[in-house]
Amino acid sequence: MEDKEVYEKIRRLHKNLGAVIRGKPAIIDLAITALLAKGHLLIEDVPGVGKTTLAHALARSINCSFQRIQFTSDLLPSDVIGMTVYNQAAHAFEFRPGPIFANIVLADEINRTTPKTQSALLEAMNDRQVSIDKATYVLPVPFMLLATQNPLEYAGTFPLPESQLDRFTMAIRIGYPDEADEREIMQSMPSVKILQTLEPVITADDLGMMQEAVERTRVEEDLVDYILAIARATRIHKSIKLGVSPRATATLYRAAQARAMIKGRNYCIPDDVKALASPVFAHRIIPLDRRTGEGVEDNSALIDDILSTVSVPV
Amino acid sequence: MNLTVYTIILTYAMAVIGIAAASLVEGISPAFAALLGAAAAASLALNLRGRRTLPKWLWNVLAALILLLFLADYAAISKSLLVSASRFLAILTVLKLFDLKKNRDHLITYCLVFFQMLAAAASTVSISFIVILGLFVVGGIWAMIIFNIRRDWHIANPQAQEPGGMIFGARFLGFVIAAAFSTIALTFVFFFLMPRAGLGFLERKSANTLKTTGFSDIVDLGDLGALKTDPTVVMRVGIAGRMPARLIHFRGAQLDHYDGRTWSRRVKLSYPAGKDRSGRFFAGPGEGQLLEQEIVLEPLDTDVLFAASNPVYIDGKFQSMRVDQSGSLYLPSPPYSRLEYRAWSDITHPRPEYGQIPDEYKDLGFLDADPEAQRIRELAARVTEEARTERGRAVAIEGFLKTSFAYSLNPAHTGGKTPIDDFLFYGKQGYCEHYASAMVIMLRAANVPSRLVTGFLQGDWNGFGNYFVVRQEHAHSWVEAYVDGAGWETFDPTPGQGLQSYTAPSAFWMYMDMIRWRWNRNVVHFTFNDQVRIAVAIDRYLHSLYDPLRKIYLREKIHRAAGRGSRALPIAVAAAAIFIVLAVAASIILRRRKTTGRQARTPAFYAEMTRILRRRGMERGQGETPLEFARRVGRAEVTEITSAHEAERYAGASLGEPELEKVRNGLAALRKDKRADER
Repeated sequence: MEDKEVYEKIRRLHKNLGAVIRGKPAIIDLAITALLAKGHLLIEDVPGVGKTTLAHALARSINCSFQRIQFTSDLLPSDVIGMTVYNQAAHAFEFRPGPIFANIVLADEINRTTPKTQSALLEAMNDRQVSIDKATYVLPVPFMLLATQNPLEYAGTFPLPESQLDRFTMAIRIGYPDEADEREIMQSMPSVKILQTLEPVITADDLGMMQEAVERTRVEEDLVDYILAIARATRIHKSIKLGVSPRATATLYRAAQARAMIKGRNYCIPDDVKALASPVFAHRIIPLDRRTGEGVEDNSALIDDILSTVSVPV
Repeated sequence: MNLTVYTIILTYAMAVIGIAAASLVEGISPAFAALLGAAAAASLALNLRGRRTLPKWLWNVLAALILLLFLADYAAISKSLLVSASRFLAILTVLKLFDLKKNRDHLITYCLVFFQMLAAAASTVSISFIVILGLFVVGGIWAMIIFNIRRDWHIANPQAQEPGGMIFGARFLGFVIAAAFSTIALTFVFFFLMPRAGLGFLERKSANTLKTTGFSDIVDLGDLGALKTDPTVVMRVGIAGRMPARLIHFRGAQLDHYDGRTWSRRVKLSYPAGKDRSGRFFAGPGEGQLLEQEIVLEPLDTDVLFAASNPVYIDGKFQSMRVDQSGSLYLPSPPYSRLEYRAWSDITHPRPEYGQIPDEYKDLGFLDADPEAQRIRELAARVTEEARTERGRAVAIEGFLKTSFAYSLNPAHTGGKTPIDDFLFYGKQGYCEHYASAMVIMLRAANVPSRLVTGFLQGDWNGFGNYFVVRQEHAHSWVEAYVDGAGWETFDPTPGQGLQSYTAPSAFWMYMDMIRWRWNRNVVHFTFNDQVRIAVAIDRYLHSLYDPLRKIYLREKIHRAAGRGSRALPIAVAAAAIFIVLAVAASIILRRRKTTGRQARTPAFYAEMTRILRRRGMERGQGETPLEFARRVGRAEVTEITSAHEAERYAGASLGEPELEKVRNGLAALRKDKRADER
């Protein structure tokens, strides 16, 4: 696929999502970035700002399979990945795939389920496959997990472990729309209805090719140094207990490539790295003082602090 | 802490420095400075509360009052322009602190402090001045920077609230100190290079003249004794060349007449000393190796000039000098400030006497008037019984006195009619004056002309600065006797105990004294001669670099003149080879640096744009990406150039002619704007 075609498809995808999520072009950019970087997205926010709607709109805009799993405390791993059942007619055990076998999976309120179930997602997210009873089942391509969680509710929740957080390309917050947008949202068609009218603008195959195009995006050595410098800074920062992992730097690298594509470039510039450093890194670091809670906001401030001191290549 | 508080605090720091400088001026008491300090502290409390303090009319009245006070001070109290002006400035500074309303008031304070520094510089030779000067330079630079930042900030943001918090970090402090040090360094260069005029416009008479006794026309026996416990420094003497083996006596005046209680001077004939071609005063005959002394004399209330026995030349900044026949040196008046001079003395030969020995040196009127004193004659005869020569007699008496009497600074009064009687026949204890007086009397009784000499012992050696520290307690008296027609020879009958220091200065004191000495030597008394000396030293050093080359050249010339062919070719080839190797190495290193350096990969046009913008005060922050910077600058040209730069830099593309044209136009537009700004 030509770069021009990729830009065009991204533009159409953006427009489609923008019809549902109003006044949040930056959030849409981030969501597409995660999609193009073959990543997974964690959306953290209070209820009613459009977390689920964003996931739905993304799935609808791509002509591919979509599954939604509502996470509750009694959900079992087999409810997610599937199980083997005995087939009386064939006299054999056969695998009944769970809802995870879809191109786009929405894990709603992921922190409401038990760590056991959460960890069932680990292999799926990283290796894009599921192992049950010695057999391994490959997940469909493309595969993207969209998870939502409400950071304010603590009662009956199980905060995601660091290992799982590390597997999300980015954690984003949608935030409240500004007044004009909110007025429009109130007065126009409910988003559920818009969602139903939403037409897919790209196919799963398109997405695969777009992801390949992203991987071809040019990244100068200096930008790699820049990413490494930021990562190093998180590891030695005095108010950060745990810095980012090598997986995180690799993710930032890929995400920066995706952002370049979104911005209509086939090469990365420092701005790509700088703009994504906070969404990609913030949820992965553990600040020394966690009194302020689990929210990303506090961590973002730390990353911003680092960004202001690490020197940018010219 | 906002900028205003910062400025106020710095202004106070400057004021305190000014008061400290004023307190250095002689004649200004510490109490006065302390009082001003207290007043300043009171005004600081008022200022920090942001209260408008003095009404304008009151301030004016007070200022007028202080002016009157200054005039009265000058006319009646201190009678010195410097002292009264320093007081006036110090009071005015503190008064100004009560009136810090406008920016101008801060500036006026700085000016007042500057004038106080000037006054202090003119009237003190104290080393603490350098500390205050250092503080003044650092504080002044700091204060001016903050002052200007604050003023400009208010011009730029007329309505806004000042930012708070710690505005300036360690880097700022570092910058200020670096600026101050470079200022001081530059000042030093100017100080050493500026031609000396030798005129102290603001010099004033020192109020701290040392009171000393023992060098006037009449000296009571016992006068020196009072000095023997006084540790005040009288002079510092550096010795050029080899150190003499024997104890140096810094000779002051001679005394020839004794009446039983007092010594007085009868032979007073002195004549103005002539000068040789290099401007040195002739002080007397001398031959062979002379002892060169570099003497810094504290202000003394005597006109006697000190030098090691038998001075030959004296070199100093005084108009005239008188010498008497015995080799005593006299200034036209007692020195009112610290005096630096050089002396060359012949300490190995006796000083010849031209013409008749004056009868005063043989006078024994005191013995003849008192029959009981006749036993001194008998004693002298007994002691010198076996000596054949006059010199022998002198040595015998010296030895007798050294060994038979106890050294004591508080000899008991034991019934003799005179102190000499007491010393020789009753208490048998005393100090240098007793020993020396007794020797003079005994020598005269033994028919050897002699006289009493007062002066100083060599004092304590300061190993840190290689000079002698001579203090009041080193005041000493000894004997000169005219022996065997050869000349006046020095004898010192005081036993070793009396030649030692009464108090020993600590190593720390010595070290501090060395700093004071250096300060005095290299700054206060830095003269045209010193400049010449430094210039000559530099010239000599350059010659030492150049001479070997010259030698090679000359040798080559001789070689060729001898017809043995040229050796120049191999040398030239070797030199060229070395040069080429060095050049290649340098170019490789430079090229490597170029390719690894970040800056080198930046396209020239972007660097050029950065330069243009920097000149206009716009610089990319450390964590700022080029695009963010372009957005901040907010100019279409900058954004365009930045995009072009990024395309070339990160896309690996080389720009086409239309893009380059755009970049060129953009740069031209930016440059033109810059010129417009300047106009």
